[in-house]
Amino acid sequence: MELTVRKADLVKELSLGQGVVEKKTTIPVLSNVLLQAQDNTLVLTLTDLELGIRSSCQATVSKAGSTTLPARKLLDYVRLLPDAELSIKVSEKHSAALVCGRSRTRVAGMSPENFPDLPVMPAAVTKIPAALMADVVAKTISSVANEESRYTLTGGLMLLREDGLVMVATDGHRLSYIEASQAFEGISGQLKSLVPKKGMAEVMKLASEAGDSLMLDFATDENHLYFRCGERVLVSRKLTGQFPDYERVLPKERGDVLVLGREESLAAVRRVSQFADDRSHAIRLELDSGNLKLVSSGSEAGESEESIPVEYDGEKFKVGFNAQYLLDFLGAVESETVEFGLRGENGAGELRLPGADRYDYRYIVMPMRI
Amino acid sequence: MMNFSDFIGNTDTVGVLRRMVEDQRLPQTLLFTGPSGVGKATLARLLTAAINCDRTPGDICGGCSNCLRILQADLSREEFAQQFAEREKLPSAKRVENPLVISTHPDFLVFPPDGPLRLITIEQARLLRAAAQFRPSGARRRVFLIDHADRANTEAANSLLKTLEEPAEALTLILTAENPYDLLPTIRSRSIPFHFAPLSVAEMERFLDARSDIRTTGRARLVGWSQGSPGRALALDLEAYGERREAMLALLRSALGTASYGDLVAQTDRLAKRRQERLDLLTESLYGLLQDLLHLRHGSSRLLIHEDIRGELTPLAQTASFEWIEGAVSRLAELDVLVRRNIQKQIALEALAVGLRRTMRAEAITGPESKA
Repeated sequence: MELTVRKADLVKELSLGQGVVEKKTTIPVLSNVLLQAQDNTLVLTLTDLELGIRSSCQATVSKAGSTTLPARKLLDYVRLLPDAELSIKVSEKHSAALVCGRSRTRVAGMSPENFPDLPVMPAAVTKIPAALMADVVAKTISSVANEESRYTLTGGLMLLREDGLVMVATDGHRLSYIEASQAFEGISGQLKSLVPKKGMAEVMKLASEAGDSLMLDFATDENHLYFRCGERVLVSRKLTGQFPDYERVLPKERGDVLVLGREESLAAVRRVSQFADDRSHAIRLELDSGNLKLVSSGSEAGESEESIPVEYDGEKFKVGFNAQYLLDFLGAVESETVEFGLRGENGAGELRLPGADRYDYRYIVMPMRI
Repeated sequence: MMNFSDFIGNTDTVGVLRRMVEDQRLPQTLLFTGPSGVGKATLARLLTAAINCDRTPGDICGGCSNCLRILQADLSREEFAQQFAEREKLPSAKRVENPLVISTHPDFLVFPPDGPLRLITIEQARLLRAAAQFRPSGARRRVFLIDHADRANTEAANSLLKTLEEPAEALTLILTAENPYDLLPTIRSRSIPFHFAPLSVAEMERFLDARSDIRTTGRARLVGWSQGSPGRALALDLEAYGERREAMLALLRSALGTASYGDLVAQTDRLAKRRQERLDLLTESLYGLLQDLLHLRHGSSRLLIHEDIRGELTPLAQTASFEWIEGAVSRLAELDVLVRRNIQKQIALEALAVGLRRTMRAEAITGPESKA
């Protein structure tokens, strides 16, 4: 293999895949990037067996061929090079000689034969606007469970219908639901798939780098999901298992809806939570006519309370929530105000954005006993 | 490239399993038990390839990328031996960070015992659980092989249970163990057991005939000493085994009172100086010797493992009563457990000999029959 490529191009494609490279070293070849050169293109493939990314950049190929080189090391080095043409020449034992200006380096490589094949992307089912995809993932990913004991919750549920895209994520204590109305050509009925958390994060990265106006080609087979953006293809394996029946969790009625200033309530919850119990993060919401009081008294360190004036004239009641879950929502959205639906002492809380025109976005938080 | 036709021995078991693959009725968990080296992991590999072969499903074409990559996961290959040796040198924190898994094909994961104590660790069990949730990548069905599942410590075994209880789609687990009763009863009851018997002498001969890479000298000893296990035959160093057996024979002689302790100490001293010598290999040859004594004592007509020293074993067999042999085997079993705790070799062997001599004396006073 022998080629020259622009340094900036190579850095761009290599950085895109860094999130996919296997950090564990148990299967050594997975720490490497597969480089394949032919027809004046350099194709880069990275995978950790859960996800895979294939991208390419223009190159002047004088001899076709392939090798694998350590992805992290290669990026760290190439990034430091001056912005110029970089020549890569693979010599014996898969190692590569890199020459750029006055710099000469030899990088030890491994046989490309042991690099796992990435499945080939089938014909695209439909197109998803990149901005939309990035947005729905960003609004749900924080609710995905990290706990390894509840495997079906370690990913998000993606539903693709001819008239909309739904993404749901939950860790059993809170749930993010987003439905975007959008016509999808080529979809009939609904396509349901469980996307692993890491896959969600990479789709978001791919989509947000794509720029607002671009479309992602979407395809799926029995075991994989494929997202293509230009020359870049992201392949994610699907998760197995049954996602919980989220529709039963979504409250039928909105209860008492309080309209809160987002920044004001974010700051208040953040302050009060300093004195919440370290483990449960529980704070108490006391609702009275015209007033919402936030109280924390769980820790030995002391107590704290804040009052926020609200429009309310119903019965007095108290309800407990995990302050961290409220902060996750309030900190992630961008809007002047939020709507907080409360349904009595044992009811789940529901956060929404006011006048959500583009989306139906809901964030459900389960109450805590306090 | 290996195929079912190259798999020698246990033809009935192989037949049943192959039919399961052909009918696509593979259970969620299979448990392969039997002596080490009879081909438990090898057959697991062959079955996985047969399930996933692109060209001839249910059989192995040996040419498609699924077959090729799955069959590469033969842990006795040089590159894996190197990898294991390098891992042993790592500090344990590093090993915890990178749980050991061999995966030449994304859908065939092999979890072998790890570290100097050769255990299946909780980190490996967690990794297995995390990996179990994915759909297959390029295969029809995923197979996870837990080699030497009896080497899983308590936490790891309990963590495995969770995966066994909640079967993931399109996943088959294959567990191997020498003795099924070393596993938790809860693991045993959740798997379909298949027992692998040692190969007959004729089968061993056929195996050795087929392998041109095995030297031809000492063929009779090789067949006997490997005890019907092709894996053992491949790994067996006749010379080293001979030396080990000599030491164990000295131990038996002192234990049975036909030689002085002095002879024993000389032998154990020599062993202790060789730091590489592993205690479990020594106990293994001692088991073999005890088995031979038992056969000789009861006039069994079958070939001894150590047929080449029948003359030396015969007088020993006359002094050793059935009860004594039985006692020796159970002491040896205790020692085997202690080996995993890294006990001192020389002291352990000498203590074993002294302990056995004591039971010998006790028998001489009360008479071997009085127990019955």
